[in-house]
Amino acid sequence: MNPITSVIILIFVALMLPIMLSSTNIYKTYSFSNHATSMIKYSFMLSLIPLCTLFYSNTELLITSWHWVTINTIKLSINLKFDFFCIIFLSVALFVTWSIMEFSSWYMHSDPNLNRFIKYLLLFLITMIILTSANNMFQLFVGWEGVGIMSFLLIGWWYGRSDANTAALQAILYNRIGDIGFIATMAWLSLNMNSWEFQQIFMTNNNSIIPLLGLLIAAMGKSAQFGLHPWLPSAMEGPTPVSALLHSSTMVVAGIFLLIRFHPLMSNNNMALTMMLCLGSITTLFTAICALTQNDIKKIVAFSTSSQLGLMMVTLGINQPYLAFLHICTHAFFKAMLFMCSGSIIHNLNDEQDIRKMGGLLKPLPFTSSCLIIGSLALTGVPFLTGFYSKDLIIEAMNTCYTNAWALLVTLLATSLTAAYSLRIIFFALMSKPRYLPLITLNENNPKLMNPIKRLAMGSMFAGFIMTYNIPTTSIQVMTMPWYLKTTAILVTLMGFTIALELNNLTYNLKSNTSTLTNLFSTSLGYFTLIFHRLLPKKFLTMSFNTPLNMLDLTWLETSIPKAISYMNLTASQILANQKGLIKLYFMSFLITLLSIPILLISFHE
Amino acid sequence: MNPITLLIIYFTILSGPMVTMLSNNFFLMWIGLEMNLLAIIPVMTNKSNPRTTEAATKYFITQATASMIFLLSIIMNYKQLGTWTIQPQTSSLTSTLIFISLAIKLGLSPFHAWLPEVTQGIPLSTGLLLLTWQKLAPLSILFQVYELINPHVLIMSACASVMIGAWGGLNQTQTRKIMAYSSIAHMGWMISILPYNPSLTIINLIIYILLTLAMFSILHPHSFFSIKSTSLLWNKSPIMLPLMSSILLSMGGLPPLTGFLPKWLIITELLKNNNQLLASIMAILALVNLFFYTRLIYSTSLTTFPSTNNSKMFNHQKNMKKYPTLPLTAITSTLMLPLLPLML
Amino acid sequence: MMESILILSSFIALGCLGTSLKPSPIYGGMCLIISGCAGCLAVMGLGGSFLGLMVFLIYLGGMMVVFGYTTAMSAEEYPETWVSSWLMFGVLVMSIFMELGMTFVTNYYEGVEVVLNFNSMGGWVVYDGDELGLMGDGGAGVAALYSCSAWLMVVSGWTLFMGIFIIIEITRGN
Repeated sequence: MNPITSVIILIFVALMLPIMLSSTNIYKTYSFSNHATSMIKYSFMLSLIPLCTLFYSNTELLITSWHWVTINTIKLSINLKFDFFCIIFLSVALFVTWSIMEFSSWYMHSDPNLNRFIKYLLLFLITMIILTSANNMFQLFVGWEGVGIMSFLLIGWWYGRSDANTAALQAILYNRIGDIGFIATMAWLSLNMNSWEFQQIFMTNNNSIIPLLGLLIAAMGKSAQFGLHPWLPSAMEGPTPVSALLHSSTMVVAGIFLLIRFHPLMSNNNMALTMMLCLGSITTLFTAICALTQNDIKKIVAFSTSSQLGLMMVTLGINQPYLAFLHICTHAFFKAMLFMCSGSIIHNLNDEQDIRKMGGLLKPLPFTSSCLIIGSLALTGVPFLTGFYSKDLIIEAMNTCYTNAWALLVTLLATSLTAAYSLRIIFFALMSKPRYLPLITLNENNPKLMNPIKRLAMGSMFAGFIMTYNIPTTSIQVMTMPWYLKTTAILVTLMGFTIALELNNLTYNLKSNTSTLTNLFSTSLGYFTLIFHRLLPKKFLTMSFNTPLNMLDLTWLETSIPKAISYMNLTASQILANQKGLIKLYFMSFLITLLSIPILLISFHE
Repeated sequence: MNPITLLIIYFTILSGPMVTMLSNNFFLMWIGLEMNLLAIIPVMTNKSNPRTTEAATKYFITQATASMIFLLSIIMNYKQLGTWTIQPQTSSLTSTLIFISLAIKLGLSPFHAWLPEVTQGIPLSTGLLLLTWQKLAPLSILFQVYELINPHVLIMSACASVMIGAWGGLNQTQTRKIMAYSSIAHMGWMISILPYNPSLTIINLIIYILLTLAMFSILHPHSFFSIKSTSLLWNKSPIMLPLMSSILLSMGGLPPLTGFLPKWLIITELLKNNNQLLASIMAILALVNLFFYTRLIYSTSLTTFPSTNNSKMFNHQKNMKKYPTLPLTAITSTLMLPLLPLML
Repeated sequence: MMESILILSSFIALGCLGTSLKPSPIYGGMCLIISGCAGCLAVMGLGGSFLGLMVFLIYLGGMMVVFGYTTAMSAEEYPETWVSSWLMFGVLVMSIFMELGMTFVTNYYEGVEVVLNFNSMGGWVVYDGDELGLMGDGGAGVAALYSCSAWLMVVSGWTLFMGIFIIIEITRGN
């Protein structure tokens, strides 16, 4: 008997249990966060069973057709699909969330609503699992929207702060734009395919660009691709564990995951692929440029996530969904860890996020610092760390395929910039001399902080190797190539490191406090938010305000009806009642009427 | 004025319209009109001052002109038909001339200009006579000859009268002028229904006379000549405030009051005869009328005028002139709507 | 006969015109007397000898006295005549020419049709045998006034009395 079914059910039960029981009295005495953490831990261990069977015997499972409801001709059924993507992602997500959950019980220990926070995180994870395990559009949509709602609640966790509320609203609004694309695709599919089942959709031969565009817009919104990206850096207003979870294994990768799921539909359409490629390369370069000049440690990491998402999109654009998926999985480890390390630093420095006020943390926080360095190196793709196994393959695949040279160049530039901004964090936060307040006591000896970071550091080092070693062969990469193509990725990264180091050394020198245009472009995030959040809405609002003001209030409700009537009556009154008291004039008017009436009557009557 | 003189004059004023109404000979009708015209002149100039003289002169000249035109038209009729009565064979010129002369007498629209000025120049009591009793004789003639008059002329004149009555009164501050314009508007309503259902003209006339009577019985004892002076009514006799408000609203034609009755019936009758345009124009312009009646209410009842009340008003009120007709007219002019079935 | 009637009616019209162009009251009164006399002569010329005489007597006896009295009351040192104002004089001359033109046109075209038939001057003033008419013969009309239309007599008498009475009442001053 296949053990996957029972394992999956057990995982779901284990994850739902804390949420179900949280309304009972049991947690009056227990620590809810500990309980939830252990539940996720057990789930992770359970999820290793299907992972092993997948690795060992390439077992995939599709649980299908528990008929739910039939609306006209569309049959909605609950379909679960545990294939290659879902099984691997399940383990990765559970592993990362386990660490994050433990970390958040340390980071948020003073929060009065810690239990609710944990519950939200758990729900966030569950919706993400629903999303990945869905086999039809409807179920996918449920997970999709659940992830959006939970992100809204979690980003706006400190709802007393207006920034947090703004960020939460921004996130939900940008996701709503993406949802339009998703719903458009659903509508198109239900109209033309009459089915929301993936297999049935993929079976038909479709050449229309409309559903693909819808999916692309949906992925743009969820994965913060260029155009719909501003919500992602703003989401840093949420607590650090939220950022860690949001950026590593849930939410933002949902868009990429959607495109991976629909890859069979996309792979035949060159236009969609080109759009994805260009979009991804623009995103990866733009966000890398933005990350270069940020001073908020979390924002740098957030922009790096955005850059990596762009890279995943590029990978999808060159028709390599499995590589993109691999990058999702490897990226989850070190990105979660980077956030936790920055969370540790922030927490220790008394909620200080500005890297200019850090410095010299290598000595007082040795463990956090070393993990931060490991994470950064993994992110830049240093050989034989986790990031290397996916990133290097992606660059190689790009180099060897017949792709857009511009997109390739842009992506390579972004890759070197990754090294630059990663080094910038290390340089400012860890190296040289302390710039923080002298009275702060630094302490990283809490096991709830150390254990999760330690686990993820292990993951950042070895997960990539384990995964690439074990996963079944999916698509065969180009194995032979010239040395300069093979070493492009590492050379570009090294170049970024070197230049960034030289440039950062300049900060020891005094420098005039003028900002250049390029610097301003980068610090103000390419003027994107300025234009799209301020200028355009202001113009539109002014226009819309003026239009109804002029048309309705001033013209219709004031001038055309009340004032016109008033003016008409007044004028009529003035004209008709101008009695001058001159009987001669009255008689003249009498005479005119007296003559005109009979003449008119006679001339028209007879 | 000498009591005997007064008696003779008022007898003639009363007998003039009687002669007109009782005779079917147009020559006699004309004589009745002349009696009426001559006898009202000394009443107008009772308080001899330049204003009353001017008003009386204007009145005499216009009315004499109207009588001349009337006489001309009946002589023409006699020359054509050899009879002093109006026959179906009467030429349209004759009947139109008769209508024009009566329109001048009534103050209908193109010939309305004299009415506000004459009313403004004479005392309030004479104004009441001018606006009510003087309408009877011309209207009775019109009632007899309406079939022969071109309905287009009637309708045009009615429409113009309603417009003049509405817009002319809008800018007035003098109560007598307001009443004169109100009279023009009411005449317009009466003439508008004349070609369709002349009995409604009579109903409208009766109710108009009742309303004018009630209104003047409030205005006259207090000598209210302008809107400004009406704002002192709360000080003189507070009981008049609700009375005057309801009478004015009735005059404007608000539904539960008597004034609504003729407007309702007339609009219904016009609509039955497919004359929607005229009905809507008149109904809309009745709003303008209502507006300046409401302005009177506003200055009397709705605002307390900034005037001090230091004097003891009791004696003043006790010695005030009383109008015995006021209770009767006030009640009939506001609460008569339920009696509608009796009047039809 | 027709020519004399025509000339007389022209005099009536001229008299009215002279009055309405309002020179001093004294000239106005004169014009009224002229037109009144001309009217009476025209009525007599058409056969209404009794009526013409009566109207002439009333005019001479009543109106002339009244007008003479009033003009004396408002005597001016330099009375305004028709030639005092060139505009008025122009209007007078123009009106005379218009009247002459009208006469010529009616003579030339044998009548003008405006509701009634203005043919050859006769239609207006000559009475053509209608047995119902009371105004036809002066004497017959007066007789009928006393017999079959007594009420007309009473009412007219009362009205005439009221006319005198009211004029006195207004003018006596109080």
